[in-house]
Amino acid sequence: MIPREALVWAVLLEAVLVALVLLAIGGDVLRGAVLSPRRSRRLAAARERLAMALADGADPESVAAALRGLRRRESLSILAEYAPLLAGADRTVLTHAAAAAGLTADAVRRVGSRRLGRRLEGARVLTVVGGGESVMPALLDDRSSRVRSQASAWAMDHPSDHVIARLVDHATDLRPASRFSVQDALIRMGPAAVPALREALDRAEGQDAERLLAVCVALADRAFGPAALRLLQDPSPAVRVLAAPLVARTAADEGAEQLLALLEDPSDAVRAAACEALGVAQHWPAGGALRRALRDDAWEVRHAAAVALERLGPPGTLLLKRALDDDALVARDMARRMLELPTGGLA
Amino acid sequence: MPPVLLPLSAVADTIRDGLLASQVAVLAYFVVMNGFLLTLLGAAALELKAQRRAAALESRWRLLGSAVAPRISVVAPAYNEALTVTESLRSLLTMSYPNLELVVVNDGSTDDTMAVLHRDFALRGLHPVYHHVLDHQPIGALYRSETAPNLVVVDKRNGGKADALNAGLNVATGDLVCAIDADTVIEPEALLRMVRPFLLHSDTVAAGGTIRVANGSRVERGRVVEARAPRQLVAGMQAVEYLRAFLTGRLGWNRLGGNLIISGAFGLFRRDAVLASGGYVHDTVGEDMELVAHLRRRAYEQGGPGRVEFVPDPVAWTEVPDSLRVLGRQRDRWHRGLADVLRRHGGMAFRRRYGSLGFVAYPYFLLVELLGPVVEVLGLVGLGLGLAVGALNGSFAILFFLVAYGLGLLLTLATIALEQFTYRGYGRGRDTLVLVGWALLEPFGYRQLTVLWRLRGIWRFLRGRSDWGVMTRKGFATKGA
Repeated sequence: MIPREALVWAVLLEAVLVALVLLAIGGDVLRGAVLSPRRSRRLAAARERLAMALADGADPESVAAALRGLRRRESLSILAEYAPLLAGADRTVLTHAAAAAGLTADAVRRVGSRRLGRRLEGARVLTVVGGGESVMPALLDDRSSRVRSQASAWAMDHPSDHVIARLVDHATDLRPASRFSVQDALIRMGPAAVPALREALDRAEGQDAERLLAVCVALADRAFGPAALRLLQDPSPAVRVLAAPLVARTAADEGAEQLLALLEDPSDAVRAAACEALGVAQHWPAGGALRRALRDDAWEVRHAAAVALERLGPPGTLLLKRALDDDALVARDMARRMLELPTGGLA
Repeated sequence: MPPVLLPLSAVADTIRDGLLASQVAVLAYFVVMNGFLLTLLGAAALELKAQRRAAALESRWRLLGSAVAPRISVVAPAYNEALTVTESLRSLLTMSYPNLELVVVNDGSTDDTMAVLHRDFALRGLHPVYHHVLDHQPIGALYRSETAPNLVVVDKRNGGKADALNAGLNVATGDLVCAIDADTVIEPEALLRMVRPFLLHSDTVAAGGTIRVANGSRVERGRVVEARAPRQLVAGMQAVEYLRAFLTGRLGWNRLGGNLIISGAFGLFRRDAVLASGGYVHDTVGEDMELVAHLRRRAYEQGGPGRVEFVPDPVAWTEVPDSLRVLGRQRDRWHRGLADVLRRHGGMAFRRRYGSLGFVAYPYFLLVELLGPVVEVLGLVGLGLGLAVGALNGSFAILFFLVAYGLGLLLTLATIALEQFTYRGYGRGRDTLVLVGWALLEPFGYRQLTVLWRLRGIWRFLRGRSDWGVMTRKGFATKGA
């Protein structure tokens, strides 16, 4: 059956491997016990020097000196700790200090690498410490979505016309990782990004329009009004869903009639979005139509209509009270719930 | 025709040969099983390297201020948690995430849970308007906290954990829902890390994080302030098991066909997908695994998102049973849950339509996770019988035992090595050595006990038992709080 020798060899092999793993664990624990306190002291001292250098008028040379004697990874980890806490002149000092310490030049070299891991690391370093204006914009068009995503995070602090134009182009990126960063960067740029976004939204349709609208709704600038009105007629329900709140925030007066028309839209989500938009716009003449929407077949629409009526203030509350006598049970139920009256049995 | 009688010696020979053959089969099973587990370990090591590289210098703080971060609703069922609920919720409310809602579901507690919530969070009544997509016991009232506006409390009739989670899913407004146990301690940045797969892949439907054993660690005001490996035997063994299950098992599955389990104590899901799949099933004790299996199966059958990922760095801490009796009940229940889920989704096995789920994940969970204890006990009984009838000699039996369990030990130690070289979740090197000690002891007694508990689970599943059993915990309440 099983040769005894085979079992002996198997046990020996396992014993050797177990011993090797134990040695590796023990060695690492020992190394940590010896080196870790020293490393911790070194890092603590560097942090203190850096904090003092920043407090003492923040001379880049003294900040760079605080990092001397540290390994590259250690310097980066300390800068990454400080970077989110600094802004304006102090952040600029950090950027100059990183350049003086050679970290920026090293990152720029990495950004030019053909290897994805190195490009990504270079981009991350430049995002943390700043700099790299000559190489980073090109990464916005990198073949890797993760590198593009990182470049977008960098671009947030570097809002030039060229960078904004590239970001707007990539706001419709198919890869979610990159798209999220681009949308986030554009929203954080705020008014600086509005002209380019408006231009793109003016000619966008379908899925591209949907992705641009996600940014424009967050910025809610009046410049988007005309495009939002046009997109209320887009064949894609997802676009109409996003265009409705943008109209409510940027072109409520001109778009009220179109929003009212959307209450007859075949898509549940669009009808719900239209109700919500009319509530946000506080367009009280829509009260009657919103009360009728309380009878809608879709729960989302009835709920959005009830919330919108509540937003209209006293006239909306009056309509909700009238809906308590509505012929439709679902309308009565939603009104009861919104007015915090006992329910009529429907959940 | 008279019966043919074999001579007695021939019968003994046949029994002896049978026992030897069974031992070969059992050993082959052990080698194949541990070989697969070593493959998982290799896959986990590669995945760990990739994940750590991806997370290095990552700007999670940018997500904190993002207007496009997906909204997350943390759903926490609470049943008779009056003593700990305030501390747990205060901890959850301070988690780092920009767009966070906390939905606490009081599942018909018979103690003062609701009174405590009213007192400590200044609850006011809310329009009880929610979309009743999933069935659950009736909701009596909805409240929002005046001191923490992102806290919503659902007061409902008792219906069990799955029922409470379904109520929470109906009321929640997030794009993503994080299902947790009320007594789980979640690290402050865990959600920022766990959301990563949803931002990277549009087809992600669920993500799970690591659960670590908190027994022995210092927990203050809902935070683990000093992580320590457990010094108590039963908890220590479980710390090693959890490490192996999460760092090797679930991480490795990311590269071998996707996970089938997301821990019920800490998992993040796409809410629309969970609602569409019918939410948590009431009539099972393995509702968390059932949900993941259902989500994945549905993705294969109807299209749509179906990626399930494990992310190693978001960490939640849990208190594990420190008595063998309670632990036995827990393992029995887990195994019944596993058996039930595999029975419900038996149609996926070896079907081309279900891809790696049907050809790799399902067979693994059936043959290794579910039936492993049966094979192991057959092996041990065969070994004993073999020795008794003289088919095996003592030294052969010892060698056999060492080969079978040595591979398992190697796997456990390699997992501890991975932990030591990467996250060092228990902090000091001394704690790693404590874990090594528990790993060396595990094959002698503890492992055999878990086999017996799991066998009991199979037996009780076959007899149709579906109770949870009484679970007792000491709790993390801060002294004097």
